[in-house]
Amino acid sequence: MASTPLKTLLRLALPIVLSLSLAAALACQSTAAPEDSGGGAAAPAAPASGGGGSATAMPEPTAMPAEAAAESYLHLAVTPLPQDTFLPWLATSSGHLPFRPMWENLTTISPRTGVQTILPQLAREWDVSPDASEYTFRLQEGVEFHFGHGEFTVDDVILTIDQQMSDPLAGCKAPLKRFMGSDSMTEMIAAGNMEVIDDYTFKMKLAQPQVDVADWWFNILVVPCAAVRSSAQHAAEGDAMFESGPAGTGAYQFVNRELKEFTEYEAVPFDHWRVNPEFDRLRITTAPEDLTRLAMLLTGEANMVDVPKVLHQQAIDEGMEIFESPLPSVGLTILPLGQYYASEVNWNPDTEPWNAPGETGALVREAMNRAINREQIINELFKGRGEPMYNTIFHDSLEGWNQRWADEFDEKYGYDPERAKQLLDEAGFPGDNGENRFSLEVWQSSLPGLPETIEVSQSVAQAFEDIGIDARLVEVEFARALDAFRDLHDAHFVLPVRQTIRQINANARIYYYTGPINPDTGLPNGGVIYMEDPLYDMTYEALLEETDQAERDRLVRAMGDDIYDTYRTIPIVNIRSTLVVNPDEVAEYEFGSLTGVFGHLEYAKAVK
Amino acid sequence: MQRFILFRVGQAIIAVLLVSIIVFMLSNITGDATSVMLPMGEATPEDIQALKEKWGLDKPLHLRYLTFLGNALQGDFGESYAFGGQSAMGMVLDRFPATLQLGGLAIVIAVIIGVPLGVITAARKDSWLDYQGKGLAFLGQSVPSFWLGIMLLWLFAVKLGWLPSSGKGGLSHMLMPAFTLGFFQVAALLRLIRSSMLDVLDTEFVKLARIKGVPEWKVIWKHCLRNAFIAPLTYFAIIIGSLFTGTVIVETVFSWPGVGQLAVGAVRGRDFQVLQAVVIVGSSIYILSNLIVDILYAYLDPRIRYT
Repeated sequence: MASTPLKTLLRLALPIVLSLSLAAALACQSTAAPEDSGGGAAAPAAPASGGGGSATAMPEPTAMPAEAAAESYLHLAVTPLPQDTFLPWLATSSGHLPFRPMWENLTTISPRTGVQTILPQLAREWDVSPDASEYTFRLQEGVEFHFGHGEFTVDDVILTIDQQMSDPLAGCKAPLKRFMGSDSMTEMIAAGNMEVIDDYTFKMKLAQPQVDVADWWFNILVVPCAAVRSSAQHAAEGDAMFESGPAGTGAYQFVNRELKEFTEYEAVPFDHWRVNPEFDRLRITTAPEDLTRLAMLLTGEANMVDVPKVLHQQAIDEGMEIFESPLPSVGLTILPLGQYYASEVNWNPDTEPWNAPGETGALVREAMNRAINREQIINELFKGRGEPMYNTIFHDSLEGWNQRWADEFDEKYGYDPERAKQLLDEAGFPGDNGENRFSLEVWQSSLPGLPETIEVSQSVAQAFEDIGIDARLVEVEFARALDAFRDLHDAHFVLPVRQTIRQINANARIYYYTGPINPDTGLPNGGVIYMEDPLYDMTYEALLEETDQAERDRLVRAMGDDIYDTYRTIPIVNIRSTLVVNPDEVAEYEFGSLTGVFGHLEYAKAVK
Repeated sequence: MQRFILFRVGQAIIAVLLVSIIVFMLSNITGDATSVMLPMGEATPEDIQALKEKWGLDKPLHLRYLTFLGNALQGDFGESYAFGGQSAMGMVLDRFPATLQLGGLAIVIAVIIGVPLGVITAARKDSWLDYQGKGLAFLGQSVPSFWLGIMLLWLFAVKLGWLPSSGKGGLSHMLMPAFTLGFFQVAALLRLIRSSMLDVLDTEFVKLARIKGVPEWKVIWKHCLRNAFIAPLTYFAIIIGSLFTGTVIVETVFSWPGVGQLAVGAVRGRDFQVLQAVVIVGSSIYILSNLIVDILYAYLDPRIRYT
C-alpha cells in the first residue's frame, strides 16, 4: 500500500501529459495564425496584385518589436472604434483612426492653433468667392501614392468625394449634397458646376453658399469626408483595395489590419513630401478594457495608451508620463431639453418648468446652473485636468468669443445653492417647504472618449436634489436619447452630453439649428435637435454665407450672448485630450486635432 | 432508443426556434438601429426611410421575423450594420476558431485540475487535502471572472512579466484567459466528482473489492471513478455551453479577438444582425451539446429512455 500514492500520481501524470500535448498543439496552431499580436509575427493579408499592371509593392510580414530590435515601433492602444470597417465612407470621425496615418486630406489644422486656423495639406491653396459659393482648389504637385500607384491628382479627389457620398450611411452624403447640389462630384462635373482645369486645379460652383468647405468638410481631422485614396488603385482593384492594402499619400503605408483588433503600418520607403516619421513602424491596437490597455503600457507591449483619468496616477507611479493636448478637445455640457420654440412642439410648463419661454424658464435654468459645483466636479471626477466651460460650443480659440462670458461666470453661474433655491421660489416653484419643487429626469449615457459622463450625471442629479428638485436618474443607451431627439415630443429631460470642440458653424448646426419645419409632421426636417430658437436658426444660416470675419464674430457673439444670458444650457467642463506614454520610448507627440481623435502620429518623436 | 432520440431532437429544434424568437424580439424592441447608425445631426427623414427600407426595418415585426427565420435557416443572418456590409454569420465564423481555442484549453484546464482534485478530496475525505480542495472550490465558484482576469493580468503580466497581457498569439497568450475561463469549471467539476465519488465509495461493490485485496489506487481510479462519472457527464454539456458564453467577459479583459468580444461590440453598436448570429450560434451549441449528452446518458443508463 505504501506505493499507492506514487502510482496514483503516475496515473495522474498521464492525463496531464495528454492535456498539455493538446494545449501545445492548440498553441502551435495559433502561433501560425495571422492574428498573432503580442510577440510573434503577423502576416499581412495577401494583397491584390494590382491587376491592370499597376506595380503594387506590398510590404513583408510584420516583424514585432521584440524581434525587430533595429526598428523603432510606435504602438498606440485605444478603446474599440464605434464602427470598425474597411470602407472609409461608413466610418465616423473616431472610426477613421485606422485610415489617418496613411491618408491625407485637402486641408488640416494644427493642434497648437486649433480648428480656427486652417492649413493646407494636399490642397496647396484655395480661393473662395466673396459670397462663399465658388471655390477654386489648387493641389500639391509631385505627391506620390504608396505602392507605386502614381501621382496624386484631381481624379483622386473626385473618387474620394464620390465614394464618401455613395451610401446613405455615409456621414458626408447629406451635408455635401446640400451645398454641392449633386450626389457626387462626377455628377457636379456633368451638370457644369465643377470644372477640372488641369490635373492639379478644380473649381466648384456650389448650389448654396457654404463658407466652411475648406475649413470643415475637406478637413479629415474634423470630419472624414476628404481622406484621399488612389483612383488608379481603385480602377485596378475595386473596393477590395480597402482590405488588401489601400494606398494613400501619408507618411505611413498600410501593412495589415484585423477589424476590432489592430492596424499596422510602416514608414514609406521614400522621402515623404511632408515628414519622415521617426518611428519605423506604427501599430494601433484596440482593447476594450481600460486596465488591459494600462497593462499593455506597463508591460512594454504598447508605448502610448488612452486610459481614463482615474488611472493616470497609477501610471505615473509606475514611471509613465501623461501627454496632454495643447488645447481642450472635448467638453461636457448639460442640455435641459424641450426648449422647442420654433416647431412649437408641446411642452408642459407645469411639469417641465425649465422649458417655459421667457423669464420663468430662464430663472429655473439659472437655478439649475447655480446648483452645480463645477470646481468639485473638475477636481474630483476629472482629477483637476479640466477647465470650466463658460458657454456651450463657444471657446476662446474660436470665432465670436466674448470674454464677458468668462469674466462674469462666477457672478452669473457660480455655485450658490441658497441663491438657486431663491430663484426657484421667484420662478413660482416653492414646493413643500423647499422640497419637491418639481421633478425631472437626468438621462445618463456614456459616449466614447468621456467615460466620466456617468459620474457627472449622478453628481448633477444629486445637486438638483439638494435644491429641492426631485431628480430621477435614468440610465439609457445614447441611441434611445437620439430616438427622443428625432421625435421632439419625447425629448423632455436633462441630458449630460459630450461636446466636441469644433468650428462654430459645425456645432451651431448640431446644437442650436432647427432647419426648415416639415409641414406634414410639424417637426424639423431631421437631424438631432437639442433646442430651437428662430434667432439661432437665422444666425446659423447667415454664418453659412458670411465671409467677413468681423461680421461673423458679431453674429456668433450675439447668439452666444443670448444662450449665455438666458441660461439655455448648463456648461460644465472642457478637457484636453490625454495619452499615457512610456517616456523611455516616446519623447514627444502632438495631438491630431481638437476633436479628441488621434492624428499627427507621423510627428511623434522617438527617444534617441 | 430511436424514438427517444427523435423526441429529444424535436425538443432541441423547438428550443432553437424559441431562442430565435426571443433574440429577434428583444434586439428589435430596444429601439431603432437607424438612430445609432445614421450620422448624428445629418440624416434627413429620407435617409432614415431609405435605410429602413434597405434593412427591411419598415416592415411589421412578425414579417421581419419570418424573413429573418427563412434566411437564418440558410445560414444567412444578413449584413453587419457596424462592420460595413460584412456577412454577420461570416464574422461569427471568422472569430469562432479563436473562441474554440480558448474554450478548448479552458476545458483541458478544468479537467486536469478538477477531476483529479475531486477524486483525491473524496478519497481523503476530511483530510487537509480535502479542506484545501473545498476551499479552492469555494473560491472558484465565488470569484467573478473579470476580477480574476484582471488580477492574473496584473500579477503575471505587469508585476512578474511572465506572460503577455493581451491579444491573440501562442500558448503564452492563452494561458491567463483560459485559466480565468476554466477556473469556475474547475470548482464545479471538483465538487461534482467529489460528491459522486463519495456516494460510490460507500457502495457494497467497493467494499467487496477492498476485501478482495484490489489495490486502493485501482479501486479509486478504475472502479469508483468510472461509476462516479455519469453525473458529471451531464455537466459537461453545461460546461461547453457556458465556456462559449463566458468568453464575453474574458475576451474583453484579455482583448482576445473571439466571438465574445464580437458580441460586446455588437451590443454596443446595436448591430442586430451580428448579435442575432452570435446568440443563435451560441445557444445552438448549448442545445446541441445537451442533446448529445442526453443521448449518451440514455445510452449509458437505459432507465432514462423509458421515463
